[in-house]
Amino acid sequence: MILELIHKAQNGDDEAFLELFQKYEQDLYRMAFVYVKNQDDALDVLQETAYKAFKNIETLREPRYLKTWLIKIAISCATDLIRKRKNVVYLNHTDMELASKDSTDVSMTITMQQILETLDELEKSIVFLKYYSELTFKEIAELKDLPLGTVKTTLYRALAKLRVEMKGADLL
Amino acid sequence: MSNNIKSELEKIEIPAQLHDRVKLGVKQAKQEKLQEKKQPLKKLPPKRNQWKVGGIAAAAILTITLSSGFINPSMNQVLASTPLLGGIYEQFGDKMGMHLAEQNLVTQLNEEVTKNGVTVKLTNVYFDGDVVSVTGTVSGDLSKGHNEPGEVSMDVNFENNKGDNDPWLRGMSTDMQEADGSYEFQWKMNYPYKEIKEAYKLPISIHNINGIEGSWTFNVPVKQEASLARTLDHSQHYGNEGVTVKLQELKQSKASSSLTFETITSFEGDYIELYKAEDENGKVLFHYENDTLLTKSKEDDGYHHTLRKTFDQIVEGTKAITFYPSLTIDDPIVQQKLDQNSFTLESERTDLAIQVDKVTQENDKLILDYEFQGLGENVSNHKFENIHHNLSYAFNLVDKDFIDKIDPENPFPPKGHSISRNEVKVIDKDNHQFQSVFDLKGEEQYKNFSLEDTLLQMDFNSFIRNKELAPFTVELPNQK
Repeated sequence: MILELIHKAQNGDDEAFLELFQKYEQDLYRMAFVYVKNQDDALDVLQETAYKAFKNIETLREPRYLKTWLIKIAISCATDLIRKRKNVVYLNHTDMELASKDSTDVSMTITMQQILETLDELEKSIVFLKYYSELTFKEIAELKDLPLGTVKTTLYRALAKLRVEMKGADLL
Repeated sequence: MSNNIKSELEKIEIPAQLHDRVKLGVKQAKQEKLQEKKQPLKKLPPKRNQWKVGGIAAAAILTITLSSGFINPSMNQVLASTPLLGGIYEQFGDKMGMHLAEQNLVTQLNEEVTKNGVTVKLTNVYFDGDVVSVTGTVSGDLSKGHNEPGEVSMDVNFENNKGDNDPWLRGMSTDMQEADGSYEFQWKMNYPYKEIKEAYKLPISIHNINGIEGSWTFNVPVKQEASLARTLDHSQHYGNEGVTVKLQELKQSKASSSLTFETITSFEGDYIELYKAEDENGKVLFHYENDTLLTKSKEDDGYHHTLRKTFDQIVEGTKAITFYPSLTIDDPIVQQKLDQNSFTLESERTDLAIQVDKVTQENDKLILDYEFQGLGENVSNHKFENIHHNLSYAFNLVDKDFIDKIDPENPFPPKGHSISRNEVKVIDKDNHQFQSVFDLKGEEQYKNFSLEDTLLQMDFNSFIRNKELAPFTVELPNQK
């Protein structure tokens, strides 16, 4: 099924591509949000990701890597957007409410804010890929084109920071 | 931790207009594709009006190059003629499995074990080159476990290994799909040993499914047809870098090729990657493919790693292959006691250095003024931004009495006795002068700070680029 959709998309069928992309669009949106920290920019990133992915779908060689291929494009779009907007976009209260389905859950809201605000871009993306996309260290290393040791060290550093931020609360 | 983080991230609300924006992106791409077909020689002006110019295009090209390759021309044919058995591989997008099913090289299994209301059935196995795939289904009352509905996790080991210390788990990938109340799964492993046995029994034991403890054990017959092997016996030495790549064997199996090679480095943490290979016609055979580590040893001439890389079948009649290696060096962390006001932290293996001109303590802040030496002239703005960013976590302040308590395999900074982040200011961009401010009572609290008892550590690795080594070409001997 997926293979057939990829094949159709590679032959220019935009409906087939949309059907494929729809499976991942929510995950990709959350990934983008973690980077850019607001809804408008995250939507821009997703529009750009869909644009680039469909334009270049012919170059996807291994269908089983479709998801990581899309994540790679989304990361590239998100980091470019950040680079272009030199001014850092801070998450304000309104964005936070938009972002969180349950704004009454104060402790959880703080935690997400910590993930967004405390970690640098690399740490955020590795935390996201490890715990949300559930990729292995090796897959993350390949995706981010980093040595395995760097991925591990970065994740440990990110977790250490989050623990510090939680001031002793047990996240584990 | 993982569940907490995941549930936090899941709270990012999906806006209603998401799918429409995706559609818009696809529509724009489609229009441009159509126009390019009509006017293939004319470069189109950018049509979109939001941050979609130069830099992004360049990044996209880089992304695409990294993951590009050739579409298998026989894909249509495979899709058309895949027998029923190949259906499972089609579901998982596994071209190799589909090719093998088409050639009747997949073994069907009928092994089923039920424990604590959960049944695991193994259905198919194949072995090609160094790739082993096992497919099966899980069914039964999974709701008794601790996972969310629709989630399945299995704790599995091979050959009676225990926990993570199992070489079969190193490159293993798992795919899973729901099917009529049960779950179909595919495990794909890289054969972890240097000498490949073409037929053997693989013991598989599952200890835990969704938190439900049990013992689901199997003994799966694994076999493949003999591969065509060529001994390469080519050694490429890079004198300046003190590293050697030795190609050992190229094997051609029914649906894949694999290359076994050895790397020798003078430094323990250095890593040589064969990141690309092309045949004599310039066709890319692989580009950033995984390696399976087969052996690792320290010999008189350096650190040896034997690795195997699996990639698509090479075309029959290929005469020569050009390999592109790169080297990632591991520069040790350097450190200096802060009992001096000025000093230099020198990278051991590069020309990089941090010349600290002044160390100042002001209340709860420690301030370092320094020059980053060895960056060369004409550092691009983009590179400078990266350097600026990376400096904010390249330093560590650590209490000298706690330095031995950091586990090198799991390097957490000792809580309460270290600071791992700093705010970096650019003082003089042209002369690479910076100031780092460490907040001793900020997020990371440093207890009983004193300059005399504190070490400043610097990790230069994030400032050192991978070095591309000269490509080399190997003529292929006749198949044996």
